[in-house]
Amino acid sequence: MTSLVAKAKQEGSVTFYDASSNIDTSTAAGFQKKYGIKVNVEKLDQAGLEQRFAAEKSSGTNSDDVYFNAIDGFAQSALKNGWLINITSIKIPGFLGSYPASDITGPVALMQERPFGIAYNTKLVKTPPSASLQQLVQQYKGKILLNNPTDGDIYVAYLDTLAARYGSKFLTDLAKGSKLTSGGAAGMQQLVAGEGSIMLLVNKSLVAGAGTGAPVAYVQPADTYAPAFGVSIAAAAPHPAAACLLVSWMMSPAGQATISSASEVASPIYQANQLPQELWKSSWEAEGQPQARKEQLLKLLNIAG
Amino acid sequence: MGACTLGLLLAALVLYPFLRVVGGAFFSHGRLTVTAFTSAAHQPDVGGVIGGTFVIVGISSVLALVVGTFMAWLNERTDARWGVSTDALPLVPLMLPSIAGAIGWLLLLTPGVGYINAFLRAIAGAIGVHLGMGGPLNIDSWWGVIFVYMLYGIPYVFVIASAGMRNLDSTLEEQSRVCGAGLIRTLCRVTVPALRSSLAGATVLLLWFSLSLYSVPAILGPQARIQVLSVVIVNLIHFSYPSQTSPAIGLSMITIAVIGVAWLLMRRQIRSGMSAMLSGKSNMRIRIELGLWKWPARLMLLGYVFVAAVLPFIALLLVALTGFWNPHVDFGSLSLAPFRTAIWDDFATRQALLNSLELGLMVATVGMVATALVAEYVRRSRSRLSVLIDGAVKLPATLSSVVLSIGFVLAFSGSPFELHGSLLILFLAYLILYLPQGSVVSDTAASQIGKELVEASHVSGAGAARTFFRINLPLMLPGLIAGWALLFVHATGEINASVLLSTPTNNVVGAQILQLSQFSSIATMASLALALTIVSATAVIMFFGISNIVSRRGNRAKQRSGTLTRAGGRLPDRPANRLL
Repeated sequence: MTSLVAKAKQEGSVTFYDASSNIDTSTAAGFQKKYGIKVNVEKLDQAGLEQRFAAEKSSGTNSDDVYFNAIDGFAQSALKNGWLINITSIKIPGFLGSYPASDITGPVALMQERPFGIAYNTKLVKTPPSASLQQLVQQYKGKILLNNPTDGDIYVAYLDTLAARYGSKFLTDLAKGSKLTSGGAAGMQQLVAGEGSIMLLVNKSLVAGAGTGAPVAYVQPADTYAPAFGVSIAAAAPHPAAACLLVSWMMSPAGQATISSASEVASPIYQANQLPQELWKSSWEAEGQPQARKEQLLKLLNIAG
Repeated sequence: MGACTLGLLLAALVLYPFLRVVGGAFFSHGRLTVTAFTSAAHQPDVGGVIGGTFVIVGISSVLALVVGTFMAWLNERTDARWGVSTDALPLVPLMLPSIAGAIGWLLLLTPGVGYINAFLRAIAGAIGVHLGMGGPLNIDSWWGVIFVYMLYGIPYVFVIASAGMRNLDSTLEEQSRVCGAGLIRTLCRVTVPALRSSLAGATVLLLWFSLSLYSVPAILGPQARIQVLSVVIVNLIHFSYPSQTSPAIGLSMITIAVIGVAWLLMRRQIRSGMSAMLSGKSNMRIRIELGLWKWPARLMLLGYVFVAAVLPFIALLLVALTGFWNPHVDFGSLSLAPFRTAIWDDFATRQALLNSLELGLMVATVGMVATALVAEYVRRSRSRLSVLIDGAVKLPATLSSVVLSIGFVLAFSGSPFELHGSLLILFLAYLILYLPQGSVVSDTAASQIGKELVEASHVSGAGAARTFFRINLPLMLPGLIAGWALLFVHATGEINASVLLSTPTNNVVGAQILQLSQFSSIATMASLALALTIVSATAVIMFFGISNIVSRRGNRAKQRSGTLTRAGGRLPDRPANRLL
């Protein structure tokens, strides 16, 4: 491990491709403070990051060292294409530390699980909404803001679980009683301003970005869908030692504490007990994310795919 | 010969990445395939998307043409002109990045909590009229989206129509009025027909702008449940994995066809010569006195700037200073903290801002000089090679910028060029993306120079290069400066290509704004967008100030030396930057 640190310091920097909403600053700062190695962060949404990563690798370009995104089929196909390395194949003593080996799947080490919940305007909704989603859709009909589900496949997976649990009619009722927003940040501002009373298809970290003092809060249902996010190391990374060191640090208790507290979501080591009692599984995700089902779900919400 | 070589170089820069993308979509294992079209036809609600796109682009373009031409006429032909205020300000909306402008309009016209709606309801309430909890205006509608498209389309028409009117001899209009025709009849029967080539150029630019526009429909479309081609194409390529390039290319063919037809019509119009020409003879300019209508006309010109730029700017400023969107502004709680967070505290953002300004200056300058040379070459040469070069230079106008940027990744990122993460790849991509805009402006400027001026120069013994730099370039300068401003503001705030081509080592402000709008707060994004707007506006104003001085000195020197007298013509009697 000592030689890894020495090599990483010699490399001087590491490039971090990130589809997370708010872990980058604290993660980069924490790592930089401990090792003095600069972290260059490149942020994109889930699909955008996959697309960019694939385009670069297809053209033989290697600019990223560490890749952080939602865990879906992409990472496994990237492993097959030789774009990511198998984390379990790293034979550096002390690399894994106390990180649970069961949370590593080939090229990905689990970093976060982000449950979907309900954001609400505290001026318009005096007590945290506690009823079921079906009841809330009726209760707040016309006052619901809906985060745009075309922004990423994690939203489609969530819609799939909602349809499986409450039936397709739930989604059509939701479409009739809600206003679609242009995305997470814009939608959150509309909620803050009072354009709607509650907002769905959101997680806690999105609410954290609403602005200091904004009249908005978050409530976590006891059962929901929680997409997982993980970290990977790029094959042919320009800074391989620094990449290994950053991932190793992210898997360590110190790194996990930083990530967990920054994003206020569960990580494998910390706050796992804060996850909802029941986590839904998406059959759409399990079936390999078929396009036809995605279009069907979006159509129920009156959105062209 | 030099212009021909330059044209071929530009054509190669356009065609290579284009073929890397399109070749992959049309050819599979060495065989021709129509998968691009069949897969595009099977996209969900493809008919609705195409129809909706034509409705929005068609209506907004017609409105922008009418309003932009009328504003140009007021400014160029009447005493409503108010110095640099009415010359330059119609370009100001372009300095606000389109994504920031779209969010600004969301903040202003959202039915329930939009600033303007809240204000109008308060006014109505004060006089006893209850307008309900939502409205009266609604950005989440077809008319809302068309309205914003129109606002951003008007500057293109204004710039080109102004340049055309400046070169149009106003004695024609004067004769029409002497013969008894009124102002409006003269405008419709004399002025507009004489501006056909300018308006054809403006229409091509409008179609390119409207069909490529992503930020506005991406922000406003979902809430109005409207999807347009540009958003669907970007979603297919950028927001899905694996990237669905084939249907995206298939849908791009619609854009290619529409703009291609418009471009052919524009070429036909320019070659017909049925338009205003800057001849060797003196151009008379007579300003119509509007009397009582002078100030309403001025207010209309300034009102456009207020609506298109100042209002969204104020909305973003309020959110930036408040930290979040609050329709009831508490002026006591305003803070500069988001500005500090967005700009001062973040080295990456500052570097991105500097990179963008550097790229904006380089792309605008190189782009306008190169397109001016190519435009003059294409106009003088009737060879097939010149047609090929002209077509290649305008080809990017028919493509989504995201498609082109994918081509740049495939073509230049890896071996042998290895340009990934460099400013050079962004410079080349921006240059190619904005070549059509520069080219159309240059074509229009070149088309209005009468042949006798150039012929007189040649007869006097000047070579091609000397003639271009001493005759063509000075006469084209007003149009070229307008084009420079267009390219500068667009390249500085470019977003779509930057998403794929910028990295932490060549980060630019467009990508940074997009990141902030997706992952941070609107307040932080608004702070950066406002900073970019202020810096861009300052740079443009400084450029025009300097060029004004240079132009005046140049004109005086040339008039003293009699150079132009020998050439049989004279420079426009207004400074080069008078247009702006």
